Amino acid sequence: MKTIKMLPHSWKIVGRVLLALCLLLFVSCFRAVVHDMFLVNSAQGYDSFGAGWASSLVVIFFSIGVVLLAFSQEYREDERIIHIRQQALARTVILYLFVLALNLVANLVLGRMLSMDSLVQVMLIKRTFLCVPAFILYYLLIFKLSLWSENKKLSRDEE
Amino acid sequence: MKNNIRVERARARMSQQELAEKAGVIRQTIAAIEQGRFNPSTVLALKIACIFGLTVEQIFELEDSDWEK
Repeated sequence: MKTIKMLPHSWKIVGRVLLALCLLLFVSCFRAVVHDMFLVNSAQGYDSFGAGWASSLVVIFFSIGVVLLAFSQEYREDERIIHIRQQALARTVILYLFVLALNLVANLVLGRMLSMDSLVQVMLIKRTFLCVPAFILYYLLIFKLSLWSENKKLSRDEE
Repeated sequence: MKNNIRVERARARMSQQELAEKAGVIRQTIAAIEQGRFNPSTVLALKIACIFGLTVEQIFELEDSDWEK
């Protein structure tokens, strides 16, 4: 039977380790990373080299960790789980577009100019919660939540 | 789509876990099919029928709602 090619289950461990490292780094360099990632002028008040280095590592670890977690198989992956994955992906696209639209509307309401440059910034670069790894994180959360709720309903049917 | 897997399983004195192992899926998938929450692929339907020594039509049955678009 045709199946979706995915990473082996063991890759989830690598993903979890990377996310743990990302969290550790984020907590240990919290002020510098937040300043570098979210505030407009990152050069003020902080060692910009150190902050840039830490925030880059946080983003790299987060991106790779989330991808590994999202695209490695469950312990036992069968066609029902693949079906849930597909549904989760469809829901994620809708949610992502909704968040994107909401963000654009918020930008307009707040009176910012909607230029192509700001659109690209919103979609890809500056807004961390709208970037591609965030999309994969939404997908991962929706998939895990769907799987958990489905299995909870089915666990009542234990023999 | 209706099915009588639960009946056939009881007749064969087989647990969901045993059927799942024979069909190469997890127990929750068998439970989902029994409850009508998940429609199996043709391959899985054929495997389940084969395990019980029956045809697919003897286990799975279309409902009127399946014909509605």
